[in-house]
Formats: sequence, C-alpha cells, structure tokens
Amino acid sequence: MKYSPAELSYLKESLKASPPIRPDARLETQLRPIEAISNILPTANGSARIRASDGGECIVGVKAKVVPTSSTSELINVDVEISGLKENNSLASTLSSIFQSTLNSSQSLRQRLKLTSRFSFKLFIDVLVLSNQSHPLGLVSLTIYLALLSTKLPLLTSSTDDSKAEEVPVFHDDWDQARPLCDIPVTQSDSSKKSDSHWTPPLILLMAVVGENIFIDPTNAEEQVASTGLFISWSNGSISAPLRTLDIGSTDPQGISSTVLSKAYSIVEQCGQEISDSLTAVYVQDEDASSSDF
Amino acid sequence: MPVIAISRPETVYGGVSGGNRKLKRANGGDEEDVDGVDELEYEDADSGSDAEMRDLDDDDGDANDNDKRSGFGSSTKGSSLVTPGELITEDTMWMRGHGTFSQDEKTFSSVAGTITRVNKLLSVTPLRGRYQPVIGDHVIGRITEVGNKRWKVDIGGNQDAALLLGSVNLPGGVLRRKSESDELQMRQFLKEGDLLNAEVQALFSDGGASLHTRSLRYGKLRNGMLVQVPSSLIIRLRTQLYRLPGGVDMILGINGYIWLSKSSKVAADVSITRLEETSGLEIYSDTNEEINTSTRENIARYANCIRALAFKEVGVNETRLIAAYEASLAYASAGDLIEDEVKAILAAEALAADRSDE
Repeated sequence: MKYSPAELSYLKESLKASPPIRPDARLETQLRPIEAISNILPTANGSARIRASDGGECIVGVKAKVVPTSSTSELINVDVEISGLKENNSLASTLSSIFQSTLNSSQSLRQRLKLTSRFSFKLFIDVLVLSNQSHPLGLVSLTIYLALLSTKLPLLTSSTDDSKAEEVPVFHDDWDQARPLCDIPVTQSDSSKKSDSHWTPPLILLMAVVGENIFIDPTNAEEQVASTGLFISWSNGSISAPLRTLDIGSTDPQGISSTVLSKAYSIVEQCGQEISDSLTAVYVQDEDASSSDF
Repeated sequence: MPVIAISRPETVYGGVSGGNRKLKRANGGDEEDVDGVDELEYEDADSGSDAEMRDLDDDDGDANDNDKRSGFGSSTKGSSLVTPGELITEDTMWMRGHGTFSQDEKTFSSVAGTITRVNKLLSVTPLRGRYQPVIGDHVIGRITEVGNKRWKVDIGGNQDAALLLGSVNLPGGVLRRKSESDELQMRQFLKEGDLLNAEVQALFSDGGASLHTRSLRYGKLRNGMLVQVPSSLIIRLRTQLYRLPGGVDMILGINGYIWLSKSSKVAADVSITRLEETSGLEIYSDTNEEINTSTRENIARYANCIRALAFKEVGVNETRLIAAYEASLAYASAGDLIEDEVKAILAAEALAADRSDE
C-alpha cells in the first residue's frame, strides 16, 4: 500500500516522539487483538488458526512421522506458504528457515521426539498464511506456538531400547492415551513448579524500530516508516536465540542503536510470558470444550 | 492492561472439527451466548435474522402474507430486506433496475439489500458494497496514476475516478490557463500515493466519476491520518467538515475515507474570492506543520473511536463520534480502545447519545 509523504512524515514524527504515539494508540508492548482456536484439523497431530484484527489469517498443521534417526539431520520441517505468492518467494522461504532453525536448535524438543535409540518422530509443520496486511512473522509464530501446544503424539508401547536388535516401534491403539508434545501448565499451581524437562515452544516476536523507539506487532503503516525490523525469540520463560534484524519493507533502512536493543529486551520480557500464557489458556479452553463434546 | 487480547472464535466457518461444536451449539440453543451479537455472523445468527425478516413482513399487515411472492406485498413499502437470488416479484409490470436480474420473466435480487421503488422502476440498494459516486459528493481519494492531462484517483469505488488537470487549482490563481509546462510537471502538484479531498463534478456513463478541487476547501491533505470505514456508514449531510473537541479537524468523505488532522488556523470555509491570493505552490506541499503531542494523541483516539463505530456497523456522524470520544476518555490509555469489548461499549454510548439528541 502506498502512503503519501505527508502521511508518512506524520506517522514517523508520532512514532519518534517520546512517549511514542502509535496510529492506533497502542502501547509499545501492546499487540493487536487476535482470534485464536486450536485443534481445527482432525487429521493432523496438532493444528491452530489465528485471525488478526487487520484481516490477517494463518493456519498451521503439525504432522508427525516415524523416521530412523540416522536418516535425517533435521527432525523438524517447516514449510510456509503465503497465499498469493509463489512458492519460491523469498518471504516464504525466509519464514520457513527462521522457524526451522529455531525449532531444530531446541535440544529438549529433539529429546521429546526421540522414540527409541534408532527411531524418532519427525515433525512436519505446514504453515498457510491465508492473508496478511502486515509482515506475517508474528502471526505465523503465534499460530505455530498454538499448534505445537495442541500437538499430541501416539503413546509408544514397544520397548524403547532397540540398540541391539532393530524393532519397528508399535504404538497404543487408543488416541486418548496419546501424550502431548509440550507440558501444559493446566492450573495455576502447576505453572509455578517448573521441572527441568518443562518445555514450551519458542515464540518469535516481531518489532519495528523507529528512531529510538521500538514497537511490538507493527501494522503495515508502521512497517513503512520503520528503519528496520527486529525479532527476538522467547522460550521457556526467557529470551533466547535468535535475535535478528529483518527487512520489513521499510522505505528508509537504517541500523539500530544499543538503547533500542535494550528497549526491545525489556518489551519482550514484559510481554513474552503473558502472550504464551494467553495462548496456553486458549488451548486449555479448546481442550475442555472438545472433551465435553464426547 | 493486558498485552494481548485473545478471543476464541464463536463461529467456525467450513470448519472440519469445528462442525462438532457448531452442531452442539445449535442443538443446545445457546446462540444467545455470543454476547457480541454480531449481525453479520451468519451461522449463529441465522435463525434470529430469519425471524426478524418474518417480523418485518408481519408488520406490513396480514393481507400481505400471501402475496409476498406474487406482488411482493411488503416489499412495495420499501423496507423489506432481500438476499441474493431471492424472488422479488413475478409481476411483469416492473422495470428492473440496479441490483436485480430476471429469469423466466421473474425478477430476482442480485444483492443483499433493501428494495427501492421509483414509479415502475424496481431496484435493490445493497447494504454494503463499494462506494457509488454521486455528483456533489465530498470525497477523499488517493492518487494511483498520473496520466495524460489527468490523475487517476482511488475513491473506493468500482473504478478509479479521474481528476483532470483543468479541474485543479494551479499555483498563481484560479484564472490561469493550463499550459504545456503544467502538463509536464503534474507530479509536482500531485503524485502517486498523495491524498486529496475533492468533489464529484460529473459522472461518466459507465459509472466512473470526474472530480474537481477548485476551491480551497479541497486539495491535498496534510497534518493528519486517514481512517477507512465502509462507505455505507457515512450519510450525506450539509457539510462534511467538522471541528472536533481536542484540536482535531475531521473531513468525513462520503466514500468512507475519513481524514483526521490538526485544526488549521484558517476557517474551514475559505471564500472563493481569496483563492488567488492564497493558492501558491504551498497548497501542494508535502511538509506537515508542527503538531503537538496532545493533538496527535487525540487524533489517534478519534481514529480508534471511528474504528469502534465501524466495528459495530454504527453510522459515523459528528454527534456519535463526539459521544464515543467522550466515553473513551474513561480509558486513560487510548490503546485500550482496540479491544472488542471496549469497542462495543463505545458504539453503544454513541448510539445512546444520538437518540437522546433527537
């Protein structure tokens, strides 16, 4: 979308001001409302759909497959498709590689996917961005997070030690016995006691830098005047790798200063936990609703 | 304040597993749970809206109950809603206007809207849809193309409007003749992306519009931001220029484009006789004036109020907007206004104020 020079300069001045005034008056740490639902695809191991208030929509399906661990180096495969763009579009492949490398670098996720000494689950995460007004990174990340939360893997009934003799893994027939991929803190008391094995998927939060200010969840107009985009990952209650700048279609790209970086850190620290808690709440509600259906 | 508001969708369209829940809800009959009661959520509201339509028919008298199909009874009163493909009349005496089509001598509606009748001409006015220009409308548009002696302007209609080089004020006064050098430097005046307000001067036979900006009221827009709402939410009034409390000016484009800007010192209505003195090249300037923080905050708050009204499909006018703005002051941070619950409250306040005003 094209904006007039007067609009862009008004926007830029407002965002540069201290405190900044965003075009929809949001705080720097405030995201736009979203509408989220999990487990929408019955044939997938886990799935989610999120609609953003600007009309963006994203669907994610997670499927698992048993593979010999030695045959593959990457246990998680992420494929992003953006409606209206060709498959080889750089935006889609950038998103795929960001999520693929982030998820693959998680040791505890790899641990969870391991079945026996020879076999592992391989996760195929298919992302479909149905529509997007602003940069889809944030939307995709929230949807992947919710889809992974809702992912269930069948319960292994055969022996876990097949180092001596190769044995094809056998699973429990009952889907109700399936174990969730992530540990869901169902009640308040559960969430307080975090064991070492506790794992929730990483969230990647996109921010836009304007002058000395930085904003989470930028709108299309904010992206236009931003000097650069920056994303930080949040996992298991703390900031984690990756932290990277990203071209979000800004008209006047520039570097970032260390003040901006520390602001970005504090923004993610303020809202990372709240976002992941809110999405967890959506999953828990959906789970309750579906169990009461039967 | 919450960092993010997440709601779970109440309706699932085409949902595979969502079907379950939908069925359950339909059987349980707890549609009323959806407290947003969004008129446009067809799946949940279906039964409700059906009943509403039947009510409408009944209002028009019992005699009409039978002849709805043959003589479109209630429809003649011009208040009845029709949906696409719905039979309007089998009577051949009617001329078919916009929004209708015929098959086997019968007239059907091609859009969702209300039936209007002028003598023997029958047409359906769509509830929503793209803006349809009418001569004299004050609209806001964005330049999409600079062409031969004309600009193409996006006004949210079916097709871009044309703004002829001869229909704008050029620097140096209103009576100056357009020369070839003006044609060569059209981009100095208006270029792609620029916003302007203009009046619809004429309509072409294909429905396209021709605009003009030959008054100081019209021209390039600066010092503010644009908010877009469906054009069906804007009503034609005596004036479309408003000075709102809080140092904000608003131009309510009939096409649903709303311009919020800092109040200018010049009165909104400049007499046409002063045109020559004031129309230098600065009327095409791209630089904003100095705008202070509180004005910027107010503009953002008004923008959120407008979005709140549009969210609830409430028509936007001055009274309602000011009422919504005043109600919004209860929220210290205007950022709270983006949440659906707050939007609903503001829209309700605006409607209440509008009613008491009358």
